[in-house]
Amino acid sequence: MPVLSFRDVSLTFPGQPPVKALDAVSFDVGLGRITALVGESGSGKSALATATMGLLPQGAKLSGSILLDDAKGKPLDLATLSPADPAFRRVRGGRIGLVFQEPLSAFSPVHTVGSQIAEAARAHDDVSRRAARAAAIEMLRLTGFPDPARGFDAYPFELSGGLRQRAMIAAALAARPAVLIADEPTTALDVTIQAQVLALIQRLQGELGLSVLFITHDLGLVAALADDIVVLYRGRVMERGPADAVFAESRHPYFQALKGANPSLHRRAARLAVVSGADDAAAAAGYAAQPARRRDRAAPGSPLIAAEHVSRIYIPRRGADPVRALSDVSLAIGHGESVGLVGESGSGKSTLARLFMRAEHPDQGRILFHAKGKGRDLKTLEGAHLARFRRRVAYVFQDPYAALNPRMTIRETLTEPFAIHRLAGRKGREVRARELIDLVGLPRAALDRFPPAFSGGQRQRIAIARALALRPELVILDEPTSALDVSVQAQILNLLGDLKKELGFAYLFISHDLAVVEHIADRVAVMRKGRIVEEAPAADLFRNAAHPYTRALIAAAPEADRANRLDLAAVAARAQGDTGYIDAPLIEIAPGHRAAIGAADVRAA
Amino acid sequence: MLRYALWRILAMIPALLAASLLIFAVVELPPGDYLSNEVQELQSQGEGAGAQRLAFLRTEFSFDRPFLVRYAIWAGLMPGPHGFDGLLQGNWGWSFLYARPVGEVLGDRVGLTALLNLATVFLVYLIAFPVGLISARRPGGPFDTGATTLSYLGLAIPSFLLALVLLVTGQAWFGLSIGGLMDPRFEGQPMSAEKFLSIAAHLAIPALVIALGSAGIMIRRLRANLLDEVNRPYVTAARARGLSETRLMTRYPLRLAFAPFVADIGNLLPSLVSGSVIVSVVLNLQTVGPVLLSALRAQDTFLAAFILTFTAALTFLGMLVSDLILAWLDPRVRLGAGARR
Repeated sequence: MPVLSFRDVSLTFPGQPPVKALDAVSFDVGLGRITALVGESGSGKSALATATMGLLPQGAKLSGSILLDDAKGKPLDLATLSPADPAFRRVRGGRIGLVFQEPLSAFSPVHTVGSQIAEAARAHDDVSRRAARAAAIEMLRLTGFPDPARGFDAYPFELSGGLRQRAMIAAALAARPAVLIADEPTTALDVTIQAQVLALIQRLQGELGLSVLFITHDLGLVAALADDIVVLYRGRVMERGPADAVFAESRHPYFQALKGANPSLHRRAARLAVVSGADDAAAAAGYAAQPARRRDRAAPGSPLIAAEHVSRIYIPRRGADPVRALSDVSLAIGHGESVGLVGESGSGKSTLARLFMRAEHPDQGRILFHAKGKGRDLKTLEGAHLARFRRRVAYVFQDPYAALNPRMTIRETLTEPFAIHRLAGRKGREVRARELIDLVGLPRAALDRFPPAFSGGQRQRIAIARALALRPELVILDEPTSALDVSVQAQILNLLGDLKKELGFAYLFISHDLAVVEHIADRVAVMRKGRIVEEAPAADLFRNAAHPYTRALIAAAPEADRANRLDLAAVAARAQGDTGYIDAPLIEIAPGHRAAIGAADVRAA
Repeated sequence: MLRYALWRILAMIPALLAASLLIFAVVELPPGDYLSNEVQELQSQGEGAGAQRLAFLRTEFSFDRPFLVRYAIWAGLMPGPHGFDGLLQGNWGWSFLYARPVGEVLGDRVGLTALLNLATVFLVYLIAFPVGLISARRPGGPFDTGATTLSYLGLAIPSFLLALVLLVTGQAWFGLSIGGLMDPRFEGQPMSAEKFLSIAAHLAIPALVIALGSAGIMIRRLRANLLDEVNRPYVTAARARGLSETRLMTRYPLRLAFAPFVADIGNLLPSLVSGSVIVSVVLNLQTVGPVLLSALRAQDTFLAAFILTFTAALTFLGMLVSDLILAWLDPRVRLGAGARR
């Protein structure tokens, strides 16, 4: 029996021309089932949630029917009911709860978490302030807060990301709705925390008999969690049915493509499948085939840059304890080598990258940069040596929307490095700009346009082109695909793989996503709390992980494969346990494989 | 919260000291001083007798001592010819221009200035708050368009012009005398209920005139803040929890939009004090503004320095109030989220 049924739901946003966000969408959310709504950005999945909650902006045109038939009230058609109707207000929070993607921005910063949970209960039931507080604390306990009473009085900025999302779920469920809509609830979280939050949703679904509409772009999560699947592409339903059947039998090209675009720890594909748009192996090959341009390279594997026992300590304001962002970290990158750096947010990955690019200096230890067979401390580089270092190391930022100057054309952006280093004449720069734009598979007409004309994936291509302008020897990529859709991520990863093969530079690739790193890196270092806890050749690491934290990361990585699905309960249980060994020294347990584990575990491993 | 308030009040002391030192230095910056100007004038008239009196005054007011010593004596940090006798001891100094103690010259003016400024700040918020609020409810609607036009007009019209227009129309059409801050018969009289009423009646027009320009800015600011806030994800999130629109607006956007609005109290005060000088001259208001003007022109050091220090103190007080309200409104200020990055 469906609790929510969508019939021929179409949605148009005003504009020139009007944007059709949903086109005759029909599916059901079954009673007591988890229905996953899968799609990439722009597929209309969030618009569907917004329409269901009556939160559409002015001017949006909605047609069809959204029938809500739960035990809490009489059946309602939410598509024809006015959002201003008091009955709709009772639906919001009272019969359908909504969990948002970014819990920090979805909570007011100046109110306590508890007051925002309690207000939901008070908005729907005539209860006293004290009763609402008790109910909110009970809800926090149910969502796994370690100390619910203290959590009630905390402000959002005082909580960790995982706890914030638990509080968000508590707020959505405070008035005991029968339906929960979760809109990308774990996208902002680290993999291990993500698994815990998913396990929580699964547990609450069982305990409270909820019907869940789970919105995501990640097929791995769908495989782990969903009973039913609806696949949305450009506002249309491509596929729907029970999860097992869809994963086993779907021959739909879009679903297959999505599956192929997801990097996997279990099958290391040479290239990821690409859903739509150009795939540019040819472009990269063409660029590298110009032999005259090729700079003489040092022998592959010879040392390029190395961190030697570096530490970095931040002293916060107002006498709080100093933060050890990095403690005694050593990591070497050779010519032509790609090194992956994995760890959750706050583990020190980006700090290490900033030391490598000399944006700041280590408090202890040093960074050695090798040039002409001689290693120099980055801190002492000056003048011509520093300029040469800057030419040889390039950086690609996480957020392609913020990394490009919106007031500069793409041509200006791509030729700026030449201008800074006074290289190539006016004509030469034009030639290079064209080569670069070809290299990343964008049309040459793009050179005359400004960044806002491009999508996120296209902007990241431009940022990569800019990084490659001076033919650097090392490219540092800080989470370059985490702001992008899976299919776009697949394009970028393929592009990076091709470029490396053809041009032979070294990467430092930073990511919180193990599967992405495994896809691109020769060697992987795992960081936790400012230390490297394990470092090994990529294939070796994923087969023979020795450190408990690495194992937990691998176990928490979702797979877009129903047979190999993530066991949420087990991951959550493991996360409760200690993953320890933070301070143990790195021990070589196999050639090139170091791990921070005690001697006893070496024998066990 | 209490600790924060205490800390802020303590922090005001060095700030006030630094400000008064700076003011004293700036007031003394032009070459010469009141007394040497006087000496020159007397000599050019060939009078020798007064010169001796002036020499006595130079020692009496320590004009022969170095700058820092003069400052310290004036502020009451150091004993002068008569022991500790400066601002800290309640002696506001001597005005050469009026040949009377500064306290006597200013008299009621200090209190009236504070009163006028407080009334103006109050009026600015009284006008800006509801107008900004209603404007933000329907941006681009008839009310918003009207309010926007009026606030730009308020910004664009010089306040002294507005004062003149009101002065003339009030006199010609309603027979009202709006010059002065009270009926002339109360001037110099001790405070009484009648005098107070007279002041209140006279206060309204000048306060309105001075407030109008600032109110225009504040309306624009509150409106922009509110429009930013109503589209925040947490407002949508609260709506998705089923809150009614009225409760939603008062609980979330209003409270957050209020913070930058409140933070402006500190900035508002000095601009009001300096902006009101011309209006005070035009409307013949018994505030410190016109006195400051003549004191600066005549290089009457102690009078000018005192008035400016008084204004600085008023500004610090405004900033303290706005900081305390901010801390109360926003836990991130109180609990120091900055320490957590």
